[in-house]
Amino acid sequence: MKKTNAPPSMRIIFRGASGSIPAPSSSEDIMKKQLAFIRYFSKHKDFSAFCGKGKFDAKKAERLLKSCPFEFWGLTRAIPPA
Amino acid sequence: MRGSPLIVLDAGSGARRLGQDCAKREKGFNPLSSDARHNDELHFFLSHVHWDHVQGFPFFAPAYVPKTRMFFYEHGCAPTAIQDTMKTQQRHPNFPIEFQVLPSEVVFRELPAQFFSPVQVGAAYVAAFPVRHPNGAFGYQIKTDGKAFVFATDNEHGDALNPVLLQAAQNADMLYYDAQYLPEEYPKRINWGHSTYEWGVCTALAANVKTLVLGHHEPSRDDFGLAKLLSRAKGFAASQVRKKENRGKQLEVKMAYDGMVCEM
Ligand SMILES: [Zn+2]
Ligand SMILES: [Zn+2]
Repeated sequence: MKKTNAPPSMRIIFRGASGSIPAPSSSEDIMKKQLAFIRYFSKHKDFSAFCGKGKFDAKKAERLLKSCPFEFWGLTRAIPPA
Repeated sequence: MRGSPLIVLDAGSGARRLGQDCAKREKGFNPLSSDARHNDELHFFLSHVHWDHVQGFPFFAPAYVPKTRMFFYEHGCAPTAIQDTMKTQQRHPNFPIEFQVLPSEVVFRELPAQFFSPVQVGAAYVAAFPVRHPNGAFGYQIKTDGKAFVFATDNEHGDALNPVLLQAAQNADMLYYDAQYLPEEYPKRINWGHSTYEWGVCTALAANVKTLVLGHHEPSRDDFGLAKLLSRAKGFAASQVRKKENRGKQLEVKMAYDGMVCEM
């Protein structure tokens, strides 16, 4: 991977939603699933593969998540709410 | 690709969001090209026309803009013309706007009959090769500026490493590979046309690939399942790298997700 400021030769953007979080029945249900997801991943050594570099603050993420349950769909490749 | 019009590989459900991204790009579809001729061009290379690879196209916004020019590449040995599938998919009453009345310009181009013969798209070279899938499918090798990306979705492994895929992926910077099934799931899905992370890792190591991207996720697998799959794939890669025949090799394993961006 290039780490310089030179423009890259290739930029590959993945788009798609193969695989999905099981369909939630309510926004509360979505939030519960996402919280479980965040908790799981904050302890998971592969979390960086999903959220990029840098330290992940699980408490902060939970607070954010509670205030805006849909934002965190972006963490995964899952289907966003329509 | 730098210096090329935008190249699109397959048009599944992700095509909708790609279209939204493109609509926001005021200076042309590919920000890596400064050539004004590339601004409104899109070049589609489809692996095959199974529905999961074309169903996003009717929702691809740039197709409804008159100045857009879309090129579709097809290989003579494909079982059906891409045009026929696209027309059928949008035929009344399946969709309100039929493919043949799209306001954008649509051009179909034949790929060279010989596999691995590249077509030039701006500064990039794109070459097709066959992969193993019911009704056939193609992989694509894209090269530009000394970098190589290989797209090998919907490929079922056989009993041994596939020499065609090894040739395509040789020394590639990145290989996108179909890892739909876990190794223990695969025996129930023989001849469904998909593969596992183990075969992806072995192929990538044998072909001296730098980064392996696992994709074509099993639709019924949730994010926990995908995380476990990735974790297992990384563990498997680490165990393979320790083997004598892979001495000195390194392999990064990633899992594709919507919106992931990789630069090389
Ligand atoms: Zn298929
Ligand atoms: Zn498929």
